[in-house]
This record gives sequence, C-alpha cells and structure tokens, in this order.
Amino acid sequence: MSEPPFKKVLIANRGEIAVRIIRACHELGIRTVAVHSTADVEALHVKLATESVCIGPALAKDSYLNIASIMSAAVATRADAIHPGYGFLSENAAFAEICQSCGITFIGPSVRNMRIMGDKARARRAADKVGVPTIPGNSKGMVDATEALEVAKKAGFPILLKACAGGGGRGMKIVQDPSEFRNAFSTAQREVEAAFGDPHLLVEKYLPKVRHIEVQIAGDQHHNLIHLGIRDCSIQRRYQKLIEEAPSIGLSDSLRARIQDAAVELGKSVNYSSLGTIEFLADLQKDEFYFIEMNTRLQVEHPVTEMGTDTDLVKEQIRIAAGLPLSHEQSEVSLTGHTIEVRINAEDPKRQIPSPGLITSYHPPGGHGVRVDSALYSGYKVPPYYDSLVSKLIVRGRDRATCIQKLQVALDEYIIEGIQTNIDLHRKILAHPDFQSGNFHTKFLDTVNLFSDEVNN
Amino acid sequence: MRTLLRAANEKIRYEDVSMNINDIETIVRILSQSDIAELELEQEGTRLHLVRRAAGQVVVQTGTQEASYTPAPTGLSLPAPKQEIPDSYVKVQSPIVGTFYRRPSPDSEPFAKEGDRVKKDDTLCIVEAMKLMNEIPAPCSGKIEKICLTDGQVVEFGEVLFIINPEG
Repeated sequence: MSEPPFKKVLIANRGEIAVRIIRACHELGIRTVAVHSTADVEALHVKLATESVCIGPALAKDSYLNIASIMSAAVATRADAIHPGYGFLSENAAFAEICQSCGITFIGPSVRNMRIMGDKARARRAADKVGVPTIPGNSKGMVDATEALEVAKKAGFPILLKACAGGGGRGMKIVQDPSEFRNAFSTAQREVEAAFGDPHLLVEKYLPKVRHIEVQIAGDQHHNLIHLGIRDCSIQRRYQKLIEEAPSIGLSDSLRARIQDAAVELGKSVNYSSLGTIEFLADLQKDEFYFIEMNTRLQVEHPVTEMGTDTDLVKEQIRIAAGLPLSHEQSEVSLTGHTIEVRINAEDPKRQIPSPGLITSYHPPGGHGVRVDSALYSGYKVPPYYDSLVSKLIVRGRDRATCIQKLQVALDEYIIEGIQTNIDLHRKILAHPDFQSGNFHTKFLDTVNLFSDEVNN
Repeated sequence: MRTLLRAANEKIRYEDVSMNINDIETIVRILSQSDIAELELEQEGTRLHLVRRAAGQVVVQTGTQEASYTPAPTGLSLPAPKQEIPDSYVKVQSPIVGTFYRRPSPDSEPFAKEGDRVKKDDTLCIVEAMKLMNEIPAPCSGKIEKICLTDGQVVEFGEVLFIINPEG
C-alpha cells in the first residue's frame, strides 16, 4: 500500500460520522484519535479508534465544542490532521485558523472560503457575481427593520427571514404580510443573536412549492473542481432533512444540468477546495432554480452520493487535504440507479422530542444495496446531550420504485429496541402516494398528516 | 517511538518510551503480571509484537523470529495489580487535556513523591497544554499514596493523577 496521506488524524466529532471518518482513515492506513466527553466513554467511535482522549464533561460546549481541549488532545497525541465531521466545529473558521497556526491540517476548505461561503449574504454576492440566480431579496445582511421592509416589499410578500450566520434551519421566520414585518424582524434578530452571536438577517422572498436540490462538489488544491451529482432533500420537517435521494424525480435533464453547471461555476469562482455542497431551491413548474446557501463541509447525506456514484467521499476529502489531486475527472463520475437515505432519529414520534436511553436489542438490515451508517449497538446507552440522529439507512436500487420497495423491506427488518425512533414515520412517508409519484415539495410533511391519513391544507 | 497497549478492558494509551533490550525484558514481565493480552511496539524499521499464550508465558516476536520467554521472578518494581482504594482516599483528577510532568523543569526535583505529605493547594504536578504550564494543586492535605502516571504521559480530562490519603 502506498504512503498514507497522513500519519494520524484526530476526529473532532462523535456518533455515526466519527465512525464513518475512522473507517475511512483506517482504510487509508491512517491512525486515528477519537475525542469524547465523559458521557461518551462507551461510544462506538471511541472503541474503534486507535487511541482515544477524554476532552471534557458531557455538555457539547465543554467537550466537542471546546477548542482548547481538542487542540490540546491533538498536540499531545501528535495528530497531523483534524477532521471536524459535520456540525460542531466543522464550519468554525476560527477553529480552522487555530489548527493552521498549530501546524495541524484542518480537513476541510480554506479559512477564507469558510468565511465567504459560510456567510449567507457573502455567498449570495459570490453567486450574483457569476450570474447564478438567487432568490429575489437582498444580498446584504440587514439589521435595520425599516431598510429591510423596503427590500421585502420590493421582493414581494410572503418573505422569509434567515440568519446570515449559523445553519441547520434555525432562526428562520416566514412573514406573510407587511403589517407583521417589524415584529417578526425584531424577534428573529433576538433569536439569531442569541443562537449565533450575529444579528444580521437575510431577507428573501418565500417560495412555497419548491424542491430542495443540492449539488455535491469536490475541489482539490490544484484547481480541479467537479460535481458528483445532485441530491433532492425536499422531505423535511422544520427545516431538518429527513429523507434525501438521488437523482431527483421530476427534475428535467436540462434543469438538472443548469443547476450542476451553476454549482461548478460558483465553486470555481471562489477557488474552492475540499468537499462542499451548494444548495438550491427549484421550482419544477416554472423550470427555475435559485441559489440559497453553501455548506463548506461534509454533509450528513453524503452516503447518497457515494452509493449513487460509487465513490468514497470521505477518503477523497482526506486525500484532498493532504494535497493530492482529485481521484476522478468529471467525465468519470456518473450517478446511476436510485439511492434514498432515511435519517433515523431517537425521538418520540408523537411529540417529536428526543428519546435517549438504553438500546436493549439492535439488529440492522443488510444485503444487496443496503447500507447502515450508525454508532448504535446492543447495550449502548444513547446519551441525552447531543442531537437525536442515531442511524442512517441508505438503500440503492436500479430505479426509484425498486429502491423504495427495498427500503421498506429494510425498515421492516430494522430492530432498535429500548428507545423510540421515527422509523414508523419513514414507513408512512414511503407508502404515501404523493411521495411515490414525486408530487411533493419542501412543505410536504407540514401539509400532509401521515398519522391519520388526512390531508391538511 | 510509540507504544500501543491493547487489552479487553484497557483503554488505548499513547505513551512515549524509548526501547532497548532491558526494556523488552521489563515489558515482558509487566505483560505477564497484568491482564494485558497483547502488546505492539513500533519504532522506525522495527516492530515488536508480544502475545500472551499460557499463564505466565509470553511469546516475543520481532521481525520474523519467534522466541518463547518465561520471565524469572526479580526484585524489579512493577505496577501493582488493580487494588481496592479506600473510600476516604481522594483522587486528584486532571481538569484539562495535556501532558503530565512531575517536575517544574527537566533538571529539578519532582513536586511530589509517593509517601510525601502535602498541604492543601501545594502544587503536585504540571499538566502542560499547548505550551501553557498548568499547575495542579492538592485538593486537600494528606499523604501521597500513589502517583498514577509517568512523566510525559498524555492526560485526559478527568484522569486520576494522584491518590491522596487525607488521614495520612
């Protein structure tokens, strides 16, 4: 085997993504350091890694977000690179800068690109510059309600207010009417400042019946940049993705090509390197698309692209960080078959609150085209301190109907006892005729009541 | 030169040790008296792999040679097997991640030795994090029963550094 790209990588994360990264590192011959809180002593990523270091007490702010502790662990274990996973410090430019100044490679994009593309207003301006369509609204973060109202009137109500900093769908507010605007604006500002420390809001026209279409891109440090196809992530609840698939049903070839080209154009214009995902909203009826934001990190739903294109994105990301060129040229990448991922959360399905606890019985499905990315095991205690995603089930079939059917069989086989999960919700979504026919958009879960088979409008 | 210790219930530890033939002997003795099942050591070009086969017997494998070694009892002091710590004893735990140093500088005397009596807030050791030397104070007065780590060892958050007998 050739020389590994790094000798030792510290994974600054936990759960299923830490397990994923550790596996990729071990496949590349790289030793791994797992960091964990006191609540994660028995976590799977700790068991799998070459070494582990406890970095703090249970709360994320004291452990997985504790930059000093993580850097100490990296220096003490002589890690030469850190992989931040997703969430936590993955989009924290200050953290990436600190890694740089300690001589430790941050496995992700440059600090500059994190700052530009991580800020929604700056990212919009980058898109404007290369002629990538953006949602009617303003490409400048706003703090003044009067100015913002002018922008809103010009774009046309209803309006969506968004945080410039931060992500994960937090701090979003829909304003139906100009009369509600001032109140909504100041409330949103307070929330956003508390959550992200930055009161700037983006004002955009709210588009009701759209699909969330994102493009996976990968760039190396030698100016090569390609896309690896799109993912449709329209099935969401409160802006949290639940189901992602590739390709997108009902998306015309021409619209898909325009979206992919726009993503590559945007990535190249900022000289992007590492993995990234460029998110768009697409109006299938009007045949139009609009850039919304970019995620300058590995995405939760990366396995959809991996299964669809037969690539290993995590290994690729590690190689890129080590200065190696991309493994594939654009012409070598093609999305085949149909792949769907369902996110399995530890949650009470009726009240949608997290459901931590001891897993008393665990049996994942398997077989041809069935993949499970999870850190669960029988006897594991799911802690209450972190987000509720406990497993991703990804299935690939030769076409969408086959894929859905395989997924249904796999969900029926999946046993997770001791905690509550949203597996039943996924069964209902997959069985719904609108999901099966492609008659859905980002508000699907809000407009369809799956538990009583009634449609609310 | 790095050492990886692997055992059913042991955590993986990272230790920096330099190795010579006397060390191999010491390591084999430690291995045979602990419940560690397997030990792997790597140095540029050399790999030492020790596997426990039968009680008290350890197989030593370097490169392609395999030799059996049954350790003779000696007066070497070895880490004692896990013993019960009385409830009254106080565990001094590290509040941070870093590297453990027993002395203020390489040429000085250690802050504290086993058997020493210390007063509350006396400096027991340093945990170095990113070039910052953090002095760890004694949480109470008493006698140092045990020093749990060796000089230069990586320290985790919450790791027990010292055990103090407050009635000592």
